[in-house]
Amino acid sequence: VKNRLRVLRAERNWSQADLAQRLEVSRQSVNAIETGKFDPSLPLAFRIARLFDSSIEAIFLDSETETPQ
Amino acid sequence: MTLLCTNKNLNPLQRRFGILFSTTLIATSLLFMWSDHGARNSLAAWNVVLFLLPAVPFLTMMFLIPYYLRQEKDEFVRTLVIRALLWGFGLPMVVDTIWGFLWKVAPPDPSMPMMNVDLFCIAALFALAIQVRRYR
Repeated sequence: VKNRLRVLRAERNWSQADLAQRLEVSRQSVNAIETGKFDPSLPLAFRIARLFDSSIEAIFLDSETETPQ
Repeated sequence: MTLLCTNKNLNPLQRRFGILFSTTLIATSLLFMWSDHGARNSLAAWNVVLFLLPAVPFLTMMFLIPYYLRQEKDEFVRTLVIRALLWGFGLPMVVDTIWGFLWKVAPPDPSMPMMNVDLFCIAALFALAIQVRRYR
């Protein structure tokens, strides 16, 4: 699935390492999620959504519609 | 081993896992050589024990891998490790299949299947290194 993680991170001026530290994952994980090479599990998706004070649907885009809810 | 100890991209748990793999590789090779040497110079009864010895590090690792996977909090790293393990199992299977066919044509060196553990460790470590590089 595509996502808006890179945009949301850039809005907050966070580096991948900053985001990784906040999510308690490796920087490689953040990179893989951002580039769409790895789809996070539901618990991690919830953690990301909580961190950005947003809903999962607003961050992760359904590949069928590709528009945030 | 030094690379694993000094690599700053690895967290302590991943470093321990890499060291465990390397140690298994070295221990299996040493025990294999020791049991091979011992089998030539000991009583037949002891040979059974000696032949089982090289499997001990591998069996230990088989118990420790699930432990590592349970402890690893990063699901992406967990995925990489599982993929690396699958690649690790793949190489000995390919080699053994080729070896099996070779036996039909011309019997090769019979000691090759004994190196399966080493092949597994090398393939898994190599696969893990490639994936870490790919996603860096």
